[in-house]
Amino acid sequence: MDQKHIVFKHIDPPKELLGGILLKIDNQKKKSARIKLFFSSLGVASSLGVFALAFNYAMEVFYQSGAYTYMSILLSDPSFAVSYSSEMALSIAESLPILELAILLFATFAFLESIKYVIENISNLSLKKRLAV
Amino acid sequence: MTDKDLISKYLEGDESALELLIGRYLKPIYSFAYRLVGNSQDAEDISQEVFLKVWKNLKKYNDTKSFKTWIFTITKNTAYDFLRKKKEIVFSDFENDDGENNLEDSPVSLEILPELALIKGEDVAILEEAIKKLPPDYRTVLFLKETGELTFEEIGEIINKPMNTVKSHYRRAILSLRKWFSK
Repeated sequence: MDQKHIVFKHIDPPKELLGGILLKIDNQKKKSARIKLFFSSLGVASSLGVFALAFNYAMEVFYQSGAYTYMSILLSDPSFAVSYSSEMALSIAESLPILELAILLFATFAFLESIKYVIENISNLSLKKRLAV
Repeated sequence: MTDKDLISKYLEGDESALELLIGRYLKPIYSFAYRLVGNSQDAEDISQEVFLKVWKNLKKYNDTKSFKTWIFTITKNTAYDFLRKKKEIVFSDFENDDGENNLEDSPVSLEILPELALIKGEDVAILEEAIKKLPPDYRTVLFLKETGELTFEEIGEIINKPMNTVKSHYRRAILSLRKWFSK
């Protein structure tokens, strides 16, 4: 064997080092997931609150709008609605509370995203520890 | 599978890809750390810290650059920080009080000492001790070059110095070792 290379050869690491590194990474992942879970739970709670407020407000505005009146007519007298379908469609579109519905849609999206984030963090926390054999 | 393939697979959710990547680099990184700090316990701690940093920063890793260079840079920086904390930055025994090394002007070819082919037994331990006395950058260049892991250019990226400086470090390291053996 070339003696030169003895001095510069790679040294075998301890056998348990790989397992130790993977364990450390797993522990770090779980710690990070716990912190994220805490904050994402707060996010779910607050986005649920915003969703509830946005929903209530949107419904209030909707009930007060002409769109509600037209839709009531649509449901109570379908034949009338069919006869004046294009006029009714335009009237409903004009009187819809677009802004409030957009806010409700955004709040719904935020709530669903925060739920998804919580589920991801829960699945990270339930990672099984792996040790290299 | 290349390093970049493994990284892509891991980022897509394949946990085993990370294990393969770590397994691929564990021995060279541990060896490099060992050569810089001189003992197995510290080399283990440094290796763990390196792979933890690699894992934390995988999403930010720029895949247009060499992963090998990146991980060796992290290892070098981690080991140097460790040595600074222990205040074990060793300066060359071959510099005079003005910090000059009279050997640096001596011509030398960029080949490792042919004498090394003859050393055996306790002389190997003496040589290892001599290498430990080299400044960290010299040791870094010598080890990375002689284990065949990296080119001078890649080593320059790791220690953040121009290629000519890297070659100079290599030359000085060889001259220092030659002088040590001529004592």
